[in-house]
Amino acid sequence: MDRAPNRPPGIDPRDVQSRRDLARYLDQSLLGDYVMLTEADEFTQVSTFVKSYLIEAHRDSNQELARSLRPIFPEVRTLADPSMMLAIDKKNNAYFADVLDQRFIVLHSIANTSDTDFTISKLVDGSTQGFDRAWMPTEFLLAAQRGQMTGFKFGFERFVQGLWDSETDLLPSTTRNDSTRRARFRLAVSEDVTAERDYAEIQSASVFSGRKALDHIQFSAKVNDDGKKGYISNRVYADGKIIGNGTSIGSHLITVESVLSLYSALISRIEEHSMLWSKTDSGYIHRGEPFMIVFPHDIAISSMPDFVKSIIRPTKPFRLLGLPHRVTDDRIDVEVVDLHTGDPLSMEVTRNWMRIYLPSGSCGNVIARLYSNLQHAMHSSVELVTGDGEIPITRNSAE
Amino acid sequence: VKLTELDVVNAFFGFCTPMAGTWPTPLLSLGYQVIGVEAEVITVLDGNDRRLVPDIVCASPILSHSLCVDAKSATVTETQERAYESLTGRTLVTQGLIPPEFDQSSLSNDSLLVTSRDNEPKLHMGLEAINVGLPVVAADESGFDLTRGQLTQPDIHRVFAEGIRLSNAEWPRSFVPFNSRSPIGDAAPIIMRSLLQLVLRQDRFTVVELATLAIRHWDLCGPTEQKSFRKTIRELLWRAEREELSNDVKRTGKEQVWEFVGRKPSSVQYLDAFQDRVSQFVTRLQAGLEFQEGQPLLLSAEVFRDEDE
Repeated sequence: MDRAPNRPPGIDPRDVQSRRDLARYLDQSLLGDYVMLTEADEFTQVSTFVKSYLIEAHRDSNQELARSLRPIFPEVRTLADPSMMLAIDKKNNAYFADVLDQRFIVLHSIANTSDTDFTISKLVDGSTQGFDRAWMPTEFLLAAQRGQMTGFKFGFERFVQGLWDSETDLLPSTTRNDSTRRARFRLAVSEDVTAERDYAEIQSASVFSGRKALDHIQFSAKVNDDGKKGYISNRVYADGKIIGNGTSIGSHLITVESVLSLYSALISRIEEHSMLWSKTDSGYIHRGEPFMIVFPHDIAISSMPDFVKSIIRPTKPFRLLGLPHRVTDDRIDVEVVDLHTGDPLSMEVTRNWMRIYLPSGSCGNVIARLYSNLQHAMHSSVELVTGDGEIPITRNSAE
Repeated sequence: VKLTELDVVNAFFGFCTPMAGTWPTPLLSLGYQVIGVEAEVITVLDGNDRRLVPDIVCASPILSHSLCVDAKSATVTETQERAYESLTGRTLVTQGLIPPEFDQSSLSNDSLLVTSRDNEPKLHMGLEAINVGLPVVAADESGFDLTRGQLTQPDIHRVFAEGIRLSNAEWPRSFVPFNSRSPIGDAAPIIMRSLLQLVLRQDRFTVVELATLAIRHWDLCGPTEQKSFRKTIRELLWRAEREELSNDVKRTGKEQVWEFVGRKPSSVQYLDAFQDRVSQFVTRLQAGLEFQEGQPLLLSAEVFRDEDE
């Protein structure tokens, strides 16, 4: 078995065959035992963060998954542990795919973030159907927190069009169809002691109204490891990336597993509400209900066609094909195809809300994708509820 | 505005479904669920079997009651209305329309005619003339009101006798977006959306594949209904092949089998352009315009903008 050319001595990714090996391999990067080749062809000992990406990957078998990964990862091999795979990207960076979950995979890597972000964005760009990011709305990120909040970042970019709000007068470029002049907003706080309080105060303040969608949340926890005091800090991103930093790879992996479980449960909850004709021994019963995305009162849709056209796009992030048809001046219905899976859904879009009908069998990730991106591109206070008023993200009653 | 059969079907779907306050749901709280759309049922009238196709059937296990709803114009057909009058819960049970979770031995049934409010007087007179006592609900954009007769189940009778108001309600249309009698322009968005699904998956498809994707209740439809749907879909494909999608879809030598031409499902540019051509086709059909070579784009948003101006 060849060693990867840019792999120095240490644990070679191709030697990893089990979860225990993987933990040791990832741990070396956290602890600074990882040795990498510099541009001057010298080995240097560095500490790198562990990146873990939650990816939805529809597949019937792991063989099919391996086939689907190969356009992006020229080398994909199974390991002694059948619930793991090694994938090597075109720049020879190693990724470990945890395929234990039937629906979601986690790709772990210690390569540079710029490389891993690029590779993952190629994986989910639609050229291979079936892969999608995990789309984590703000409430979800808050619920995923383990330990003390140590940082957060708001991110907002008004690429949904046809809107008017009080900010529009101040930011006239927001209504233009010109991506280079779209209003962008970023606010990051990284402060161990005050982050939680800062977050609460900014959320309740009137400043940055409608633009307080979380790009990421960071939290840390102390770890008592055989009497040695350690820590782990995890940063969870709205697009399903989790970066771990600290002294305990075990704590990072537990966080990843926790976020994966929460997200998997969220998508299952969404799909519980999908529409179906349930066949019984005699006859059928129609079950399910539409979802509602409710727009806040301090934003108005000034152009329904522009609004709909900016959402029904085959490009990222929405990745939807659709056939809009006008019902009234205040309503457009859209027959939609989700490019992630090719599944259908229907939308009834008004100036105050959109009603979404997800047929049974259609992937619920489209609801999370739509909702999360509307938080980041329309208004951070949009709300997702089911027909009976449940808030599926946190499973609280709307009342 | 005259209500269509589909307006009635979608309204009753909404009455039985949690709708987050965007549509009244008086039947939901009584336990009603939709158990059939255009399902065929045979009843006996004057010793002869009569086929009925109620537009929607709802039933409540709590009340052990079913409601067969038929949307009507002003026209009365004596045998049909008398057949509805004779329809019983037992008839629905024996023909397998009632799920087992209902108490099948005690199920009662009401048939209900729903008509546009301005058709109601004429329908009323027609029913009087044939001496049929079916209850009638008159509906328009303001609400649904019982204007004639009564339902045997007291709770559901009270709902319609008191009336269902639609202020601040937005009529649902997506439960059953079209049926086999819909104008081709109404059927086009759903059928062509299914064509967009197929172009992502496969090079060839059959009319039935397209039908099962487009019509969620395909398995519930009787053979007559399925035949009508297939006819609508064939007509739409023939037009698409001759018109906007002449370079995209064509019939193969095999009857009922079609294929995509130049399909590139992984290309965003291709998908975007294909979607635009399909959208142009659908929008033109909905507008009732004839196809012309080199026709200016009628893409929905542009059409809307012209209307707004």
